[in-house]
Amino acid sequence: MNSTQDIATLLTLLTGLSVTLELSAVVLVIGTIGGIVFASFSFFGGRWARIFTDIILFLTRGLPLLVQVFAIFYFLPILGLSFGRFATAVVALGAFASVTIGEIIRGGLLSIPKGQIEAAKALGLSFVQSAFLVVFPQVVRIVLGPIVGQFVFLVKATSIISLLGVPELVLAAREIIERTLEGFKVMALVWFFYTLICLPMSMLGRWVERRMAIPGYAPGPRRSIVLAATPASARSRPNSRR
Amino acid sequence: MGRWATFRAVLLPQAFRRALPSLGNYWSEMVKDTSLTSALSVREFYFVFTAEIGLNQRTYEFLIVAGFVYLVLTSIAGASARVWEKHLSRGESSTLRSRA
Repeated sequence: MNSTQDIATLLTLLTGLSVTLELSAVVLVIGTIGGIVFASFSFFGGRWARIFTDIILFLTRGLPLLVQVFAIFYFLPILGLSFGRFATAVVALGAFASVTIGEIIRGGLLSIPKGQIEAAKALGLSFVQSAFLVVFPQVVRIVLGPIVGQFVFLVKATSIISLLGVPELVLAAREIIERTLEGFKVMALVWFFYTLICLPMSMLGRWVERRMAIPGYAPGPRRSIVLAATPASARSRPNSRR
Repeated sequence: MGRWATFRAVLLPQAFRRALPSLGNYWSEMVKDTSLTSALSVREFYFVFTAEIGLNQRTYEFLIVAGFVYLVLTSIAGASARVWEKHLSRGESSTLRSRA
């Protein structure tokens, strides 16, 4: 590889990176909004809404993301919606993001003890008041860490979209490798770029999780055996979650 | 009991049972991720399927069948973890079990 070729490689990869970033940003925004909608629908929508969201959840969890993406790619035109490749990718990943983030939020809603809502009612708070003053502030603190974790997963999941022919980072890399046969160098760069995006994100996530942790609250399994095996001094720290 | 005996006889059995639900998730996750090897031209299920679709153009039927097969596989992975967990939790009080 000579230096002009190196620069061309880098430029192509950066173009791919910008597409990856663009796609990730759109998907994360759609996923967050869609997740809130999905969780509210599933949580407050009654029995049929629950059955509906359970089916969607079963499909989302049971099918490989690759199959989901291609299913949406082929089935959208049947519904009379024909988008470009990028828009299809946004729809497919956005739907996946909405469902997975929605399930995290629903878990957060479920983890609020019923007694708190009853207490809010006893204090004379209306439904809306108890939701916004009692439930949501706690849900946000519980849910934010896992959601940032899911964000990181979603950024990495955009690489699957290369198989649809959207020229993001991985596809750009594959094209360069086909041309130059410098597989190791190019893939090392790709690895570096993904780390550049994901490592700060997951560090931020861990920081947010520690920062936002509700003192004394620890989700189910973790408080049991692992903490019982640690010295009491470590056990009494409420914020010592992962 | 020594360190190793404590780990083997006391900690590991309990920890393993508690870990099983998320293990089950990872099993089905891995079953699904095998489809990614098709991008490396490994002749696995999904690769063969897309090749067949390329030949006969019956995209919708084949995608539905492929999806069904993956659903069955991942359901088996999840269900076996649940059955195993239930088997290992026999004799444990129900309050403990619901907490895990």
